[in-house]
Amino acid sequence: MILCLSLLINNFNCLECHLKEIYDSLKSSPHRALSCVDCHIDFDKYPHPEKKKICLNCHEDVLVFFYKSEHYGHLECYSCHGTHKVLSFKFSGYKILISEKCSNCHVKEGKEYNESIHFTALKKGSKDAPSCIDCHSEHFILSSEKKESPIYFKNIPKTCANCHENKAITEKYGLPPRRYKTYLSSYHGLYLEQGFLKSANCVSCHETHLILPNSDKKSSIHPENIPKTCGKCHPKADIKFAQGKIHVEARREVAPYVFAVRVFYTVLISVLLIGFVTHIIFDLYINIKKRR
Amino acid sequence: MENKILRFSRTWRVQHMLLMISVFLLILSGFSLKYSHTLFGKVLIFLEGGFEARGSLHRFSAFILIFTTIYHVFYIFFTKEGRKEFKLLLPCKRDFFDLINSVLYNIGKIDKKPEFDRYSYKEKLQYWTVSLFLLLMIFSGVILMFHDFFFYVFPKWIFDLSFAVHSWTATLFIIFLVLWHFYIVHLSPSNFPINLSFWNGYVDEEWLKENHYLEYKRLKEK
Repeated sequence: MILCLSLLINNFNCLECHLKEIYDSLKSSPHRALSCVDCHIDFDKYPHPEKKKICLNCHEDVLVFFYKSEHYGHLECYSCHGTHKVLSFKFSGYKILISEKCSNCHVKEGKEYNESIHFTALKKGSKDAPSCIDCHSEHFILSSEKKESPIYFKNIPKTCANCHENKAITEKYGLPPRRYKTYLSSYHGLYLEQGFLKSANCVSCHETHLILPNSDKKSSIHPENIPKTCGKCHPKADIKFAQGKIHVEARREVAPYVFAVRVFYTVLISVLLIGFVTHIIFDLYINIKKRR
Repeated sequence: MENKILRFSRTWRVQHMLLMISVFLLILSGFSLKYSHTLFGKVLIFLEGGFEARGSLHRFSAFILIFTTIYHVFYIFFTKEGRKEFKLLLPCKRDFFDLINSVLYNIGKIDKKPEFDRYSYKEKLQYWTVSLFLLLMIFSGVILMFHDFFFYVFPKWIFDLSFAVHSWTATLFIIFLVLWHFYIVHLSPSNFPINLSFWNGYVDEEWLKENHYLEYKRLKEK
């Protein structure tokens, strides 16, 4: 009770000079239980001291990540989180808000992202569709040149796999399944796994931010754009090349030819195996018997 | 050398040697790519001198194999010996009965062991399966190797088909080599532990009499 009272007194003291709007926005944030001087330490004296980095006093777990990120030294916590009206991630539109925040500086990327299927899905109310932080991580944002970054060339397939290899998500939204597995079994995947950074990964074909389904004419994987997209590495890739799936697996509905090959060889190899083994066993048996 | 008989000519042995070396290297370098995510594949890739060296090794051995194939085609068409050998390798009705009789003999239904010519059904099965699937292997391999050129010619699914055929045929070859060829030339009691005729061309008279009686008889009649 006394604590509450002291909080009130404290805040009312500030509000003598400072706008009441600030206090109202604070009350709608997760920090509603804090008083002004919890963050503005030593501000109960006048004149106020210089500003200090104060968020990390409570959120020290974030420091480990933020300290190593590219933004450290360039951005303050409030650059992204705001000052008094800090919003919780429980707020339903927070992913859209994040993309807006990042777009303030990353204008080109934001523009491309806003046209992508990921953003469209967010706007339609999907809670699983990725915003910036789902691929770039939250506080531990690293340049694509750093090996531990989720957007390092070799790590991208795993980053995308978080959703596109997740059965719950692919089934919920009717997405084509097993994108990671089929990628890994392709030459691109095999070579990337071996550290060949010239090999194609997800974004080489699907674009980085402007990711669109192949039904969209603007998409890099629309059949008409395939020669151009594949042509980045394979200059001879023709419109003909678009006939057939890229993510191939031995299933009738995906690649009937590959499926037929698998069935044919499985039967042939099984028959041969059984035939050979029985023949050899009988052959050896009679030889040993005759020799005795 | 009285009871030794020269069974395989030098050209025959050279062809076998080239085939043996190239297929061995192809299997090693190929399966190390197929299983590159496993420890087995990683060890193989290390032994082959890295991932890029693996690819070069695969293409180099493929070149030897293709050369051997062309050499063999010339051999069976343009040399007297080759034509003779090829005729003996052609499948005939007799092979089918030989197989049935062997099985009957092995399960003790008949007492007389079937007599074989120079190439029995066992060798013919091997020759023809390997030849036909080798051609598939070469076709699919060439498509995959020159994929950048063929992108202009074929749709994508042709490459998927080639990839699947190449990979599955390799598995088939392994089964053939490990089970069938190893059995014929190493494990079967008359050859154990190894029949050295692939190296020097000579076999014992006794061995020939036991395993290829018709060939033996023809030699003696001469």
